[in-house]
Amino acid sequence: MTSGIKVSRPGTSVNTDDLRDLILHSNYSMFKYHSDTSPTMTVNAGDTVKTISFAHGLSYIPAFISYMKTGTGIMMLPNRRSYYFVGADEHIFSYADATNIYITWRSSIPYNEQIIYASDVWNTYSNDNWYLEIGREGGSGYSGAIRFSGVNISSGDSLSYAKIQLVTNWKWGSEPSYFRWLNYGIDEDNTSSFNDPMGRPRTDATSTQTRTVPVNIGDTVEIDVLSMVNEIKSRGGWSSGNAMGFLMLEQDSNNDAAIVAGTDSYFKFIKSGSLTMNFRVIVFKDKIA
Amino acid sequence: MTIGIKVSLPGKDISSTNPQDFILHSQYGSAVIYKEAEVSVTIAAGGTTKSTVYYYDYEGVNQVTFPYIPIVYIMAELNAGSGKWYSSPFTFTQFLDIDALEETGILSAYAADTAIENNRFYITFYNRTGVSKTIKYHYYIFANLAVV
Repeated sequence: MTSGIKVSRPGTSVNTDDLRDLILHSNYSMFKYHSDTSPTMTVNAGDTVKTISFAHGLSYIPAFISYMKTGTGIMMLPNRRSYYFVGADEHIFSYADATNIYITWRSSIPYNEQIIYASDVWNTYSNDNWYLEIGREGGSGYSGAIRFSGVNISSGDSLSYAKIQLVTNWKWGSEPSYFRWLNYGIDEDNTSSFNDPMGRPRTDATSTQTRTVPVNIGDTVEIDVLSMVNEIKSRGGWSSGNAMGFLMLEQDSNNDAAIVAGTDSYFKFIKSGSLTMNFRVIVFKDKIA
Repeated sequence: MTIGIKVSLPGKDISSTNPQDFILHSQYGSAVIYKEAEVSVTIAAGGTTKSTVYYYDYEGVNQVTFPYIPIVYIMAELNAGSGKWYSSPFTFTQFLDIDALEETGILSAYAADTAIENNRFYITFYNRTGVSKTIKYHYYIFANLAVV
């Protein structure tokens, strides 16, 4: 007979074959508590990865369990924060080496970045809303416009950046030919769906943009529109969720140099702000490696 | 009066009503480690390997089928020799774009890949590199803690 100690739950026999009835069995060990730490992580606007660490004080890799505190409880790591901000795929996980415990947050897009696809486009080639065109076919210049609905920016929001990404659906010419345009915001509180928007009021903020013809269909052309967005959201009648539009007036492009884009083009911006996450990590003296 | 055994932490009163003050308290369950071991797994270049661990009795002779599904805790060194050991559960690894941190990862999107059953658990690794990799994982089976 093997000597040892067994402690069973109240109401169960120490001779049980069901290990669930036993609280202690000297044949088997238990995790030995080492430390309990409550680290904090702050993720800032624009971050895509953040790692914090703390020393566990052991000279080997220990077993540990980490949790993230939520508003209502805790969740074990690793885990996903399901779309905490629009469009993001966030993951939080932890690992250990012989010195530290690490907790890493990673996101598929920068923290607080939001993407809105175009609701309307316009071109002056055929004066319709089938596509947006900027540049010249032969020697004739054509302009475009683009509109985004449901722009959830409040007048008080501070933006780290605001950009339009035109997705090349078609093109005229090739590098090094370039197309050039004057970019404006549409200076309205909630610009309506397009039915020839080219005469709509323009923002004071403007910029001259020059781009070589994209190499491939699907390439994006990025346009910084922060100053125009700031001007529009500062209008007295602007409200979060309204529609925002932009005019792109062709000017001095090379002949046969143009881009054609559609409603797969998008608007992306990052609101300022940060996210603080609280964790709890229990480290055991049990050696993993 | 209920009969039982209590062992309190240093500096804590044996009469405490806070379960956290005890190393052992027969009123409460504890995590008994039924088995722990380190396993090496070789994964072909660009391939996957499913590593299966069956449960055995204390003497390690006869296979055991529990009348329940035990909790299994795993830590894996996904980049051989890196000294970085990730803790389970590996829910994040089914999204290849986000866990592209190490040379190998864990397939956990489907129960056929990575799961615990009443007589075994298995974990499937994939190798994102162009050469064969041998990685290690360390497991604990808590046989007195049942999932179901």
